[in-house]
Amino acid sequence: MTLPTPSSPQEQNADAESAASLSRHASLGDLGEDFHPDELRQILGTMLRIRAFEEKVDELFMQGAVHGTTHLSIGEEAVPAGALSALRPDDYITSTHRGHGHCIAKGANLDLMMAELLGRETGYCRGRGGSMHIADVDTGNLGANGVVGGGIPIATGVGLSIILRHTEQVCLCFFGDGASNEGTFHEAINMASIWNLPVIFLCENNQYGMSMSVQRATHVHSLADRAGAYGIPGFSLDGNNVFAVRQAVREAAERARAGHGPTLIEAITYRYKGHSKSDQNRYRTRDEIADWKQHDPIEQLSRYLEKRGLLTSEQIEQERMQAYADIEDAYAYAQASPEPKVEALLEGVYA
Amino acid sequence: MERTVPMPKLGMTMTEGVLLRWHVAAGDTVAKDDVLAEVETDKVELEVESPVAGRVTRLLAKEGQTIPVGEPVLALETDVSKSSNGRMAAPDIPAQPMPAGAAGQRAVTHPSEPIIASAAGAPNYARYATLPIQPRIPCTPAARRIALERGVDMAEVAQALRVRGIDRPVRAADVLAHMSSESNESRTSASRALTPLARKIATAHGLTPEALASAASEAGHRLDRRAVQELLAAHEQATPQGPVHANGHSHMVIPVPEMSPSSAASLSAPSMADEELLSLSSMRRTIAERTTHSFTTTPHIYLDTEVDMAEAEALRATYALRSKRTAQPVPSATALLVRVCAIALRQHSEVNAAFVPARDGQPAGVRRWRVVNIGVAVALTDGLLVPVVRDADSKSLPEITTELADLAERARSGKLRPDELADGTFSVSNLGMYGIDTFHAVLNEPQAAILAVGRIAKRPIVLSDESGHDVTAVRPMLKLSLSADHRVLDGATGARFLATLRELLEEPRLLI
Amino acid sequence: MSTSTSQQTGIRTAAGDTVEMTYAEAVRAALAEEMRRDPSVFLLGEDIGIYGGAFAVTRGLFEEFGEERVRDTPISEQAIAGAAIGAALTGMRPVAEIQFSDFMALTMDQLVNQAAKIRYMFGGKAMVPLVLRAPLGSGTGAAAQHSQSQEAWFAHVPGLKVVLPATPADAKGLLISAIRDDNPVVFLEHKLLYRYKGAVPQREYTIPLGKAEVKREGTDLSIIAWSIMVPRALAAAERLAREGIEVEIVDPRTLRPFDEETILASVRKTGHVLIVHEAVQMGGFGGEVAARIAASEAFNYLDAPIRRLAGADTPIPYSPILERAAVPQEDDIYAAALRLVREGI
Repeated sequence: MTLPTPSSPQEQNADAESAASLSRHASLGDLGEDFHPDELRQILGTMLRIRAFEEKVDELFMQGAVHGTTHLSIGEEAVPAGALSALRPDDYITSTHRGHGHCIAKGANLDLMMAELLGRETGYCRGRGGSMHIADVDTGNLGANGVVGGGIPIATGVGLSIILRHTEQVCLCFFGDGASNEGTFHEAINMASIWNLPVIFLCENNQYGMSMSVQRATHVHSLADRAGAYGIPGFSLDGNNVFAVRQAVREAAERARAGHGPTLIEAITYRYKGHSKSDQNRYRTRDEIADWKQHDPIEQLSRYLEKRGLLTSEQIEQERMQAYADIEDAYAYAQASPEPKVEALLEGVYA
Repeated sequence: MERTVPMPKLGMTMTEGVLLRWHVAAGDTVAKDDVLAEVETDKVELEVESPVAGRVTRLLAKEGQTIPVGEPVLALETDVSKSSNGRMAAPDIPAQPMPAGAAGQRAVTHPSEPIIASAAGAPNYARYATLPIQPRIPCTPAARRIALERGVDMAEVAQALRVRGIDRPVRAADVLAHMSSESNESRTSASRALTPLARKIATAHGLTPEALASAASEAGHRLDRRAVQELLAAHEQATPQGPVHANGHSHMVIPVPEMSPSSAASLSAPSMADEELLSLSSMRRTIAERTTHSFTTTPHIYLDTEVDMAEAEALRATYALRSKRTAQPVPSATALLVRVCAIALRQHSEVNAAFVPARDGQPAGVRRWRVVNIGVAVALTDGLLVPVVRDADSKSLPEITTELADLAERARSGKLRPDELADGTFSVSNLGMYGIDTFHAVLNEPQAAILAVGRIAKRPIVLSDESGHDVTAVRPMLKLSLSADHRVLDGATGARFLATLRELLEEPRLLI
Repeated sequence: MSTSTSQQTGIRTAAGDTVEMTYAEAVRAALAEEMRRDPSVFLLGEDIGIYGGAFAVTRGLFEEFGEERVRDTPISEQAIAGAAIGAALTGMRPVAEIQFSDFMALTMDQLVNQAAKIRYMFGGKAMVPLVLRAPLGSGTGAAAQHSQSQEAWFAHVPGLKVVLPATPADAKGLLISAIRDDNPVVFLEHKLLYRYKGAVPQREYTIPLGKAEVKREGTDLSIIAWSIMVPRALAAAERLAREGIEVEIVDPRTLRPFDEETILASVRKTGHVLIVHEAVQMGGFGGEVAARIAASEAFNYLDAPIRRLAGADTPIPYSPILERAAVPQEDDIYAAALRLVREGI
C-alpha cells in the first residue's frame, strides 16, 4: 500500500516513505485491491447518490421549486465518498457550503436532507437551515457552514474535546481551496498542531474560490505545502481517485488516534457546475470543464469495477437506477412533508 | 414522454428572464447538460442547460420574449434509451406542476403583518376607532393617564398652567393640583364624569356627586345631558319628595332650586353659549388649593356670639372727633377687632396656636406661638389676600389703623411683599361692609382659629334693667363667629376666648 | 462598595453566612467550583495558565487543575472561540477568556455566525454551551483598543446571552449559571470592578440569567444601570437622598435575556427614568431599554422624558482627563438625576 508523497519537508511521520505519485489524470491504478466488492459497491452507491441528489437539487432550483441558493459539488464526489469510507461511524465531520456530498457520505438520510432543502418541518434542521446548514449532530455531522473557513476552528475544538474526553474519535474537517486563505485556517491548524489534536484537515481543491482560481489566489505550488508551516504531514492527491482519498484519510486517522496529531490533505478535484446558481462561468472555458469530465470520478470507478470484474455493467446500472430512484423517493417524501408553522418561528434560538 | 423545461431561476432575486437566443430547434436531439438557450436576467446572461437527454418537440417562447420564472420555454420528448457522454440519462421523471411561486404562495397565506403579532392573535383595531382623538396638548404620559382615569380635561389643566405663566408640558402633579382645585368648587372627580352641559343640569337639580359618580360608573362612560335627565326622572320616581338632597352638612348641600321634575325633564338643551369656562387665576388656584386642603383635612367647629357695640362705637366716635385735631385716622371696626383680638390672644394662648401633624417619625403636636400676628382678609375683585399685622398685641389702635389701611391699599394695588402675607398666627375676616350679618370662615391653615365678623346693625335686644326686669333695647349689635380647629381646641376654649372679645368690645376702656 | 441585599435571589438570607471577596476572586471562585463539580468544564485563553490571566482572574487555577483544563492558547482569538464552539458541540463546557473585550472583534464570525446561530440553523438539535469571558471598559488608561464597552454588539444577536455583573456576589452567581447554561454566553467583566469587594454567600448558589435586581429602592427616579455604572449610580443616589430625592436603581445584570418586567415595575413606581451605561450612547443598549419602556403600558406612568446618560461618541482617549470625560462619572449621574427630577428634562 502506498501513499502520495508527503509534501512537507518537515514530515517526520513513519508513513513518509509511502510514495506513489498521483497525477490527477492517472487511472485509479491498483489502489482498490484491498476492498471487498460489497464495500466498493457501497462507495459507488454513495457517489451516485451524491450526484443524483445534486442533479435533482439543480433541477428543482431551475424550476424555482427550491428558494435561496445552493452550491453543487457534482464532479467532486470521490472526496467525501472516499474520506468517509475510511472513518468510523462515531467520528465527526465539519462541512462547508458545498456540503451535500459530505452529508450523504456521512450516512445522512436522503429524505430528511431533501425535506430540509424544501424547507420542510421534517428536514434535518426543521427547515431552519436549508442547503447550507444541514447538520446531524447525533451522528457526528457537525454541520455545513455558510462562512468560508468558518468550520476550521470548530474542528480544532472538536479535536480538543476528543482528547479531553479521552475517546479515540477523530474529526474530519472539510474545507475548500478558498478557505485555505482565511485567517481561521492558520489559527486553527496551528492550534491543532501544538496540541496534537486528532483532526484531519481535508482541503477539497476544486480549483476555484467562486471565480478566483487557486493559481491566482495562492503562491504555493500545492496547498499541502502549507502543512510545513505547522510541522504536520501534508499530502496532495487526486481527489477524483476515491481510493487515494480513502487511503490518505485512513492513514491520517490512524495517526490521529495514535496521538500524533493532525494531517493536512489536499484533494485535487473539480466542480462542473458554477459556484452557485448565478455563476456565468466567465472565468473558465467550456474545454476545461469538458476535459475534467473525461476524468469523472464516478466514471473512473465504474470503469475500474467493470474492468476488474468486480461489478458487471448491469450491476453498475442497477446501482445508478437505484440512486436516482432513492432521490425521487426522497423528493416525494419532502413534498409530502408539512411546512414549518409560523408560530414556531422562535423555537430553537435558545436551548 | 414529453416534459417541459421552465424559465430557470438563476438568482435569488430573479423573477423573470429574457430569452436571448435559442441554441436548439424543434426536432433537435439534445444530451443532458446541452445548452438549450441563452437567457438574460437583470444581472447576468446565462445558458439554460437541458435537465435530461431527449428530443426537442416545441419551442414555447420567442427570442427576446420576457418569461416569468417557472413558465415553460421548451418541450422535450425524453429518451431514456439514449445516453449522453456514455452515461445513462436520469430516469424519466414525471413533470411536476411546480409553479415558480411555491414560496410566493406561502407568503400569501401569511400576510405581511408582524409574524409575532399574528401568532399571538391579531389586535382588534376596531376598538381604537371608538376612542376620541385627543387634542395634542403637551403633557407627560403620566399626566395624560391620570387625566383620562379621573376625567380631567387636559386642555383646562394646560390653560391653567399658561395662566400661571408656566411654559412646559403638563405633568402628573399639575393634573392632581387641578383636580383638588376643582373639588373645592364641589366639582369632585366624580362630577367630572359628566359632560359640561350635563354637569350644569345636574348641579342645578341637586344631584349629589356620589349619585352621579355611581351612575357614570354603571354606564361606563361620561354622562351626557340625556343621561342626567334620565337620572333625574328616575330619582323623581324613587323619591316622591323631589330631587335628591344631600345630607345635613352645610358644606355638602347642593342647592335645590324650586323646579318641578317635569320642567327638569323638559329642559331644552341650551346652546353652548349658555356657559363659559373660566380658567383659574394664580390667586384663585392658591385659594382653591388652600381652602380645599383646610376644609377637607381640618375638623372645623363654629362658635357664634353677638356683641353689643355701643361702647365701641362710642370709642370710635371719640377717635373721629379727635382726628379732626390730630389728623389721626379714625379706627375702622376691623382695626378695633384686630386690637381686641390681639389682647384676647395674649390671654388665650391656646387659641394662638397651630396643629402640627405627625411627620418624619415625630408625633403630632400643637404649636403655640409666642408672637401675635393677625392676618386680615382683604377682598379683591377676584380673590382674597390676607396681609398680616405683625406683633399686633404690642401695637396701639392708631398704629394698627394706619397699618391696616396701608396693607389693604397695597393689597388691592398688588404691591404687597410676600413677607407681609406670611407668618400669621390668627386671622380676622370682616364681611360687615358687604351687609353680611354672620358667616363661617374656613380656617387659614395652619392657624387654629379665624374670626368671621359681620355687620354692625341696630337690633332689638332684651336687657335687664337695674331692678332686674327684662327690657328691650335697640343696640348696635355685631355677630361674631369663631371657626376653630377642633384638634387644637375645644368649644369651651373658644367660648372663653369669645367671652374675652365680647368683654373688651363692650367695655373698650379695658383696652387701655 | 456595599453589597446588595436581594429580594429576588435570596442572597444573604442570614447574617454571617457571607464572605468578603473581590469581584476577581468571585469570578475565580465560580470557575474553580464549577471545574471541581463538572469535569466537562475547562478553561482556555491567552496567558490564563501559569501567568494567571492578564487581570489575574485565573491565578491559582493552573496549579489546581493543570494545563489540560487551564489551557494556554496561542494569540488566536478566532481559534479560541472556534475551539470553544467545537468542544461545546461535542459535550464539553468550555470557558474561554478573551484578554480584552476589544479583541472580541476578532472572534465575531465564530461567535455571531457560528456559536449563536448553530442551534437555530440546525433546527434546535444542537447546543453550544460555552462561556466567553472578557474584561471590558475604560478607566485603566489603556486607550482606544483596550477600553471599549461592546455589550450592545452581542445583545443584538439572537442565540447569545449577554451578562454584565456589577457586584462580586452577582459575578459568582451569574458565572456559575452561565457555565451551566446550554447556550453561548458572553460574560463581560468591567476591569475597574475587579478590585471591588463585597459579601459573597459561602454556600453554593446561582443567580438566574435574565433576572434584574433592584439594587436600591426609591420613589422618585429609576436609574437603569449595569456593570461599573451600578456602584457609580449607588454613590450618586446617596447624595441625591440628601437632596430629598430617593432613587431606585435597577440592574438588569443580563441584557439578553432581558428582564423587562422588573424595569417596567420600577418605572410605574417612579415615573422618571435615567438609563446609564458606559458604552457609547449611539446604538447603545440604553436605546433598547428606552424603547421597551416607551412601547409598554409603563409609558403612561412617565412624568418626564426617558433620559440616557452614556459614553461620549468617541473612542476611549488616552489622557486621564479625557478618559474620565468620555464616560459617565458619579457627578454626571448625580447632575442628570437631579435635573430630571427637579426640572423634568
